[in-house]
Amino acid sequence: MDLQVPLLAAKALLLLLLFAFIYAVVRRGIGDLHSIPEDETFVAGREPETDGRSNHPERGSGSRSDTFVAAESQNGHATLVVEDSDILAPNTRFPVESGTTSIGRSGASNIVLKSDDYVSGQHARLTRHGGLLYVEDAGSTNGTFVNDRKTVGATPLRSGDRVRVGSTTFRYSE
Amino acid sequence: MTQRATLPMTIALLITTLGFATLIFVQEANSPPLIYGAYYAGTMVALYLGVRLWLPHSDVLLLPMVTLLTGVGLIMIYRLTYEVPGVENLATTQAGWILVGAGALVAVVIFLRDYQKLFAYKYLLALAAVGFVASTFTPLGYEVNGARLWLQIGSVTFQPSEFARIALIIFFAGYLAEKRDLWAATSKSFMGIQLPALKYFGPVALVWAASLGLLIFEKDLGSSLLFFAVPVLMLYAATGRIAYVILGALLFAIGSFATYLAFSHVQLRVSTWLDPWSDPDDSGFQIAQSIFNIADGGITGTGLGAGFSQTIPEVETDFVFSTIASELGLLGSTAFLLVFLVFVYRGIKISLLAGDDASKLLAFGLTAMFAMQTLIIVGGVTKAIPLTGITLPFVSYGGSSVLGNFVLTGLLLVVSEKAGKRSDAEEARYEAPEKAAV
Repeated sequence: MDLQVPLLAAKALLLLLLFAFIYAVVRRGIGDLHSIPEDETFVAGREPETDGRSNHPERGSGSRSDTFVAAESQNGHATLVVEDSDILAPNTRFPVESGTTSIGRSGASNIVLKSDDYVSGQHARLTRHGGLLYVEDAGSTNGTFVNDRKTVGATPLRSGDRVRVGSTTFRYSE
Repeated sequence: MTQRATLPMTIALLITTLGFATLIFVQEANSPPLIYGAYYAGTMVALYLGVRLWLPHSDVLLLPMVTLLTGVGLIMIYRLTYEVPGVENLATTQAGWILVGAGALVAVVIFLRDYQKLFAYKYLLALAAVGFVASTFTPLGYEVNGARLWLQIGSVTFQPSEFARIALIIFFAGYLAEKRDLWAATSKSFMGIQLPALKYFGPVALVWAASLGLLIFEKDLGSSLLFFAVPVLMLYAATGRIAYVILGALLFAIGSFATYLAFSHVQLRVSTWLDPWSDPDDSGFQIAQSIFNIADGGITGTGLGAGFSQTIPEVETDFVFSTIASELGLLGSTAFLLVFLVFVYRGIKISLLAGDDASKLLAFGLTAMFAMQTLIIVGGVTKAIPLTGITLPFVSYGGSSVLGNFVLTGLLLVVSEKAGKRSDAEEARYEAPEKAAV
């Protein structure tokens, strides 16, 4: 029987250590639960959230229906107009073609924002899906903002929306 | 993310030391060459310090968990094999594999620091995954216990499907991130569930057919279940459409039933699951022994080395959890499952914090695979679900499995590095916007 005592002690110690490990890991791990980013994640396919836009004066008073926007964009005169920028002259117009339009500091982008230190090489992408133009951040360092809200995932644009990349603010018009 | 985990790391190594000390001094097992213990502890500590140094924003908390899981795995493998002639050196071989795995993790951290470039090669990776799985049908492949999933090149044998899974998850992450708006678009709803158009179920059916093919030709139930469930879960994560999961479950039920009717080895698995006692000395032997062992453990376990789980065939690979439940008891095995749970929690957390869709899906897919694998094998050995032979991540003996899981952890670490950097930058952004690095 005397052999059983060390075994029992070892067993108890091992279980104690196992739970101490769980405690230590969980204490470190759960502590940052509340640091989940606040910006709401875009759920693809769902109605785009409208808060943050409704207080935006330029965009009619909600009378514009989605189908109207879709029908309008079929005509394909979508443009991004520079509203405010450190590097580009105001009112510079960039037509948004069908397919993907890239925005970035690199010369290969469709819309080149040279010598803006706050713009990444490949900063954002504009893509057309089912009549709506979506802007999506391409993993940039400082993010892409639509109406001063940082975008998460693809964000649909409506006429009058402001898109900010680095120091440049564009107004989107269809 | 969590940058300091010295205390959990110390406890994990203490547990491993205590386990071996119990076996050597109390059970009077022959001591394995102590240099292996030093190698193991040195590797894990070096890995921990190295990751803290190279990836200062990453979730280093994963490493103490890997240390604990591999450490307890080593104790159990050693305990099960030190007196069995022919396999006495299994624990030291496993320690060698852990060393190789740690090397692979370092390679991932160094070469795939910018893991997003992987997504550019997603179709190539998918092709490689298919090639890996198909390679077992070449003359190089061979069968073990009826399942053809081994490959022999020279004197090295490995299971290519372990690596095919990871390649496939990278592919799905890149692919779904690009196309998820399409999959998520819905036109009608049924009983409150938004239904995507019929054509978007095509890829689900394709993955289903592929995993069914795997089941039929490789006779590997566990792998085929993983190959099916993980992509479906990723599709759900990408779109938020429960319809894909429901359809996936339906397809899975149909597929399982059809293979049950068609294949005798599947029938055998199901009948031993439903009633191992009808043939406890032959087909039901393994699962019956497993249950005996788990019951023998009781609340606190028999103590290391005092159980009788050597009686279970394949105990050091598929049934290692039975040994843990037997010798550490309900308390020990619960603690052990909690470690898996925390690992999965950290994985999901990394996924939540990651900056772009592809990284989110990658972290989620890897975590889902880890979780599913644990669920399938623990459920199998406790007779909750039919047994399918896959390994318990990090714990079971097996080089490919250990290597694959280290690569998985490495990928989670590099994703968490970017995610951590991003969330740190977010906090600092309002004071002074930082200059773009690219």
